[in-house]
Parts: sequence; structure tokens; C-alpha cells
Amino acid sequence: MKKKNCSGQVLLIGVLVIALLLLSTELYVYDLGKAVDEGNQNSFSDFILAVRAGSKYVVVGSLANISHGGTSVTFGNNLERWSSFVGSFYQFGKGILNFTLMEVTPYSSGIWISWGTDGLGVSGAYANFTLQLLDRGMDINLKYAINITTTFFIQGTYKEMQGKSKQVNVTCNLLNEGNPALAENLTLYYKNLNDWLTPDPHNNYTIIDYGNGTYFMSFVADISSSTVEISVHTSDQRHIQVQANATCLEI
Amino acid sequence: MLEAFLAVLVIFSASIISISFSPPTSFENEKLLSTSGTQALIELDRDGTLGKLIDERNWTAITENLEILLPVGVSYNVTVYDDAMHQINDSTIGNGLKGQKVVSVEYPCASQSSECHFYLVRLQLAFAR
Repeated sequence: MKKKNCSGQVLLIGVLVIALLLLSTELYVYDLGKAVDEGNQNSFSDFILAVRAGSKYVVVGSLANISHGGTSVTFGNNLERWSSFVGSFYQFGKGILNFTLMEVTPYSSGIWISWGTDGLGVSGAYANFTLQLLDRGMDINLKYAINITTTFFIQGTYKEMQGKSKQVNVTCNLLNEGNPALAENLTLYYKNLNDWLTPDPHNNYTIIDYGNGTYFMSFVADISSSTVEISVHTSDQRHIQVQANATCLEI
Repeated sequence: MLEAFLAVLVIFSASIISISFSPPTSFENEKLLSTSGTQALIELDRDGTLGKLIDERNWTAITENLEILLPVGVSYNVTVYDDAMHQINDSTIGNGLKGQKVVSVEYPCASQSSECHFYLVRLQLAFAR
């Protein structure tokens, strides 16, 4: 019986299997490379991150300026400059950054500064942005809002001592966007007659920093009036100034 | 004989197709450098550090930070421009740019100070050989 020679077919099948393996491996490597490459090609996403971060810093810087006595038009002017700057430096096409300042109460021209007498002080800035990127065949519109708010709460109590002398205790809380924040400096004032005075070591002035945005201050002073009015001024680590005024409760 | 010829043909075709699938390596390298550079600048600009260091003209600190943030084996050079496109760094920021292919990344940056300065940071990178 003649044995059939199949070595040619076996060779061909073997070669086909090898070719398929080779191609599938190459295809897999190519797909992986393409995925990485597509990720890299998203250079506009990096640009968006940079613009967004920059927008936040402009809002913070503007609010710091205004809270230290600058005019509120500074905010719009700074954002105008930033928009123009960003628009001129997008490498891969055309970048347009538009903004609107929040005009809903309590904001006016994007700024909310309220340093009241009820123990609450707020310095805030709010702007809405639209970033449009026109890249080869792509039109990306991104909307985002930047809301920067420094909030300061104070609460005071006092205890009558001998004569006009009063022991005053004040607790303060500082927040950035609702989260506890550290103060850069704290200045406490109390009112005696018509003068605002700062307590000093002669008043046994002590301040305790709890490290979590909470501060406790205590002093003893001669205060003629039956009420004790206090005012605490501070700025956060972004240099945003805020102050709050309150009338202490007798205990 | 015919099977051997077909086998050679199949292997040859598969090789040709696989070569055409492979993306060019230099293009990948450029993208990798570009991404590394941008990511390093984004990281450095977290919490406004980059703008603050430029405000302070602290070029040494920028160099030190980039040394940490950029991958090993990458040479780089940084040029900082103000909003009028005047170069403001008066000393070299970098480790000596050397390499055959140089990639440039531009990063717009705002400082968090109340004066609100704007800067364009141009980072040039190359694989050091």
C-alpha cells in the first residue's frame, strides 16, 4: 500500500498558523500603540487643564486684590487679559476663551464681599467660562465655572471681672470653598468707647491655633460699655482678605 | 514544490503587512516627550506653584522641580516669557538640551498673586543620548 505524502500540506498549514500569529501579534501591538498615540494626540486636553488652572489663579488673584481694597473692575479686566492671552497661544489651532461674571445676588460683577456684624464675613468671586478649541476638524466647547469663596465665622463671649474689666473669648473659623483653611494672619480688635483697640500681652492676650482653621483668642481689657464689640481681620493662604464683626454674648 | 512556494509567499506577505502596521518610532518618541513635558508643567502648576516661582524669579526651584518631574534620560531647556513675549529668565533653566530630535511644549500660566501676571512657559525636550 502506497503511503500518501502530506508533508507539503502540513508545511502550508504550519506557515499559515505562523503568519496568523504574526499578524495578530502585530495587530495587537499596533492597536496598543494607536491607543497611546490617540492619548498623546489629545494635546488639547492638556491645554484645557492649563487654561482651567490659570483661570482659577486669575480669579483667586483678582479676589485677593479686591479684598485688599482694589476696585471690582479689576476682576473683569484680569479675565479679559487672560482670555486674550490664552487665545493667542493655542499651538494647534484656534482657542477662544469667553467668560461671564456672576450677576446673581449676592454677587455683583462676579464679586461678593460681605463683612457683616453678625459674625460672618465672606469674600467671594464667581465667573463662568466657555473655552472653544478649533483644531483640525475638531470643534470643542467646554464650559466650566470657577467659584472662589473665603468664609470667616467668629463668635465671642465675655465675662464681667472687677470694675470695667472684662474677660473676652473669641472663636474663629476660616473656610476656603467650604473646607477648613489656615489663616495667614489674624488681627483682633475690640471697641472701647469709640476706639477700636488691639489687645496686647498686657491684656493677657493669647491665641490658640488648632491647625484646622479654628482659632481661639482670649484677652482681658477694661471696656466701658455694657456690650463688647469685636472685629477680626484675617487673610487666607491665598492672600484673600476677609473680616467679621460681632457683639459678644455675656456669660 | 508548489507548497513550499506558497509557504514562502504567505510568510513574505505577512511580513510586509506587519511592517506596514508598525507606527514610526520617532513619532511615538516625540509624542511621549511632549506628553511628559506637559504633564510635568501641569503638575508643577498645581496650587499655583509655577506662577509663584516665576513671580519670585526662582529659576533654581523650577529646575529642581522639573528634574524630579521629568523622566530620567530627558534633557530639557525652559524659556519663560511675559505676556508681551519678552523673555524673563536671565539664567538657564534646564540640564543642557542635547538630543537629535527636540520637542517643544508651550504652557500658558497665570500667577495667583493679586497683580495677576501671565507667562508663557516654553519647555524644549529631547532624549539625551
